[in-house]
Amino acid sequence: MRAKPRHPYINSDKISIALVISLIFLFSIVQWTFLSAQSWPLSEQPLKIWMLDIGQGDALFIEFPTGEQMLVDGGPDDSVLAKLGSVLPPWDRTLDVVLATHPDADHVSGIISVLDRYDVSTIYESGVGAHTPFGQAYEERRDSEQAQVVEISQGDVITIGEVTLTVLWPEQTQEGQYPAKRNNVSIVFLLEYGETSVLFTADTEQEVEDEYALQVGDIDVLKVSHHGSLTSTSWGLLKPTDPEVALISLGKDNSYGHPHPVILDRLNQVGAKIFRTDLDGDILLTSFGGEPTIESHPLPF
Amino acid sequence: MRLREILQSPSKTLAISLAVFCFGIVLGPLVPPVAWEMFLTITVITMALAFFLRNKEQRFTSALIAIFFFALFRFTSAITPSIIPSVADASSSQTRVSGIVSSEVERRVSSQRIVLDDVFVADEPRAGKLLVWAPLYPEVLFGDALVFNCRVEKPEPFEGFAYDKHLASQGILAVCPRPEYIDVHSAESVSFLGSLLLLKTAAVHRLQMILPEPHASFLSGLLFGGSSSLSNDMKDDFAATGTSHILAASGFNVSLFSLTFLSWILTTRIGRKRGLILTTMLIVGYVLMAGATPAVVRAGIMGVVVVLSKWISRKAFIPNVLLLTASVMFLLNPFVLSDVGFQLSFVATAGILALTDRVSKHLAFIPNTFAFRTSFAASLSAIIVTLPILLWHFGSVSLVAPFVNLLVLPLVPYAMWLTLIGLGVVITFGAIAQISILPAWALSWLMLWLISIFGAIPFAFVEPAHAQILAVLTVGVFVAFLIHRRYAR
Repeated sequence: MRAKPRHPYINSDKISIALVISLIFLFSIVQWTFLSAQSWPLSEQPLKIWMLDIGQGDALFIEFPTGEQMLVDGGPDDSVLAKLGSVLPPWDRTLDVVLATHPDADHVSGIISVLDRYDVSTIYESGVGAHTPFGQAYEERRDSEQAQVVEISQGDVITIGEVTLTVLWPEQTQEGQYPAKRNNVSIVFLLEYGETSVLFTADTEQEVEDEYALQVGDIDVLKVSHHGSLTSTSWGLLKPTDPEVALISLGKDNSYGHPHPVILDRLNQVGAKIFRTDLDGDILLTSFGGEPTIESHPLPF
Repeated sequence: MRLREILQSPSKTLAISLAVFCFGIVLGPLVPPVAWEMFLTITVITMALAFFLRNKEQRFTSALIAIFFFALFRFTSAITPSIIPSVADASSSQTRVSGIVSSEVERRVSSQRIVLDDVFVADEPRAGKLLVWAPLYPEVLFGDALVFNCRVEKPEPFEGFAYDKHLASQGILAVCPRPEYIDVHSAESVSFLGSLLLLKTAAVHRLQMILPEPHASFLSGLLFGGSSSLSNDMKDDFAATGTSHILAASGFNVSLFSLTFLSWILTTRIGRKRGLILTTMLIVGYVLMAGATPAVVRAGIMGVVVVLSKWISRKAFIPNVLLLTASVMFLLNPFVLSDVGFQLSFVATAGILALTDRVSKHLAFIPNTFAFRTSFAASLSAIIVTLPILLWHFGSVSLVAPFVNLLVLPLVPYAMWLTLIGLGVVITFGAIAQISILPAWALSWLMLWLISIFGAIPFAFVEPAHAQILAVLTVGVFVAFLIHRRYAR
C-alpha cells in the first residue's frame, strides 16, 4: 500500500512561514496602538501640545481635539523628524499646518526637512525673509510644496474646532522684508481652548513684548521667548500675564548660556513652574478645556 | 622537504604567495620611507631570477621574495611624497579653499560630511583630500565644486582613537571644521559613480517618504551604509551598547545577510546552484544600488566570499578565499589595513565563516525557521572575533554589548530583507502599498528601542585602564584555545 502523499501546498514549513509573517504584522499593529496611547475614536480627545526636545531651538507640535496636527517651528536641524516619527503613527505622512514664526536657522531648519518628508496642507508665516542659506532653502521648499501659504499678522484669528489661535505680532505682514534681525518680527500667538490659554512668544524681545503684553491678560502657560535669553521675558510681559507654568526650549550645555539666571529668577518670582527641554526632555501639555496638565514625557527616540 | 610538499599542491602554493604579499603590506608602515624605486628594482631582479633558475624550489623562493618586495613597493609608492605641499601643510589662519566633492556627501542630523579632492588652498594646488564639516544648507552633492573660507586643521587622535590614521587610510590629510561663505557650483556632467549614487539617493529618498525617522535612517543605513543621520543621542546609545558596527556599510552586515539568506534559500526547492546565483545577484545589485563606494564594494566582496565558501564547499579553501580577498584589497588600497571599518568587516566575515557551523551545533534548542539559528550563531561568532579590535581602537567595553548584540544582531538580516521587500512593493505598486513597510518599521522600532533602553543603563560602558593590553590578551586566549582544540584531538 502506498503511503498517502503529503499535500503539496500545505506543509509545516509553509505554515510556520505564514505564522511568522502574520505575527510580525500583528505585532506591528499592536505595537503602534499600544505606543501611541491614542484613545479610541469614540472617546473625547484632548488638546495636546508637545514641546519637543530638539536641542538649541524651538519646535512645538500641537494635536487638536478634532484631530488636526500643527507644527510650530522645526528646530535647528533634522532632530524634529525623529520626534514627529514618535508622535505620529508610522503611516501618517501628512501635517495639516506648519507655522514658521521667523526664518532663523534654529527655528526654520527642521521645517525645511519636514516639508521634504511630509505633505503639508497650510503654511502660516509672516512673510519675512532671510538672506541666509537656511532662509533661502526654506523659501525654495515652501514654494515647491503644494501647500496654501498664508501670511498672518496682528488681529488674525485661526479657529480649529473649539481651539482659537489669536495672532498678536507682528503688526503687519512682512512680505518682501529682509531685516538683519528677525526676532522682533516673529509670530506671537495666544492659543485658547476652554479655560486653557498658552502664549507662544517665538523669539520676541522686550521692546516688542511690552507692546503685545497688554492685549493678553492672565494666561496658564508661557512659552518663554528666545530660549530664556536676557533680551526677553521682561516684567512688562510677566506682570500682566502672570503665567502658572513656563516652558523653555533649549539645548543641553548650549554655548549661549541660556537660560539666563535672571530670567529663571523672574519666573520663580511670579510663581511659574518651570519646565526645560534640556533637563526634562520632551514636555507634554494635555487639556480637555479645563486646567491643563503638564509633564515631562520623553519620547522613545 | 616542506617546500616541495607545498609546491605539489596548487592551493598551498597560492596560499603561501598571497600570505607573503599580505605580510609585506602589513610590514609596510615599519619600512623606512625610502625611494620606492629601490623596492621595484629588487622585485624585477628577483622575478627575473625566478625565471632563470632551474631548481623548482629555488625558483619558488625567488618568486616569494619578489612578491614580498612588490608588496613593499606597493605600500611605499602609495605614500604621498613630502616634497609636494599637501592640504595638511596649509597655514592655520582663515583661507580661501576650493575643491571638488569626490565621494558621497553624508548628511548627518545637523551637518554635512564632505570629502574634497583636487583641493586648492589660497589658489595653490595641494595633494591629499580635505574633510569638510558643513552646515545642512546649502546642500552639497557628489561632484559639486565648492569654494569657501576656512581654517584648515590637521586631524588629531582623540580618546585613544587614531583618528588621523583612520582618515589617512582614506587619503584624507586635513580637516576643515567650520567652513564659511560656502559657494556651491553644481557638477556639469554626471560620472558613472555619480549616476550610481543617484540611484541610491532615489532609493533612500523613497524610504524616507514611506518611513518615519529614525527608522528611515536606521534601515537605509543597514542596507546602504551610513546611518549617519541618526541623532547624536541615538548614536551614543549605539556606542554604549557596542552595536555601532551595524550602522556602517560593512562586511559585517552583508556577510550576515548573505549567510542567513543562503542558509534559508538552500532549504527551499529553488536548488543549490540557483540559490547561489540568486544570492550573488542580490549582492551585486546591492553594491550598485548602494553607490559602489569603497566601503560598499568591500562589503559586497565579503558577501561574495560567503557565497564562494558555500559554492566550493571545501573548508580547506576558506583561508585561501580570505587571503585572496585581503590581497586584492591591499593591492587596491595598501592603507586599508589601518581602516577600522575594514578590520571589523574582514575579521567578522572570517569569524562567521570559520565558527558559525561549530557555534550552531551548540544552539540546537533554537528553531531554524527562516535560518534564525544560523543568524544567531553567525552573530555570536562575529561578536567573539571582533572583540579585540573594538578593545584596541575604542579602549572601551560595553558590559551589555554581548547581550544587546545577541538580541539585535540576529534581527539585522531580517530587517534588511523586510525593508528590501517593502521598498520593492512600494516602488512597484505606489504609495497605496505603504502598509508593506510596516513589518520593517516594527522590527526597526524593536531594535532601536532595545538599544536605547540598554544604552540608558549607567554602568553600560566601562573603560578598562589598559584596553590595548587587554585586546592582545584576548587574542592570546583565542589562539591558545584554538591550539588547544587542534592538538587535544
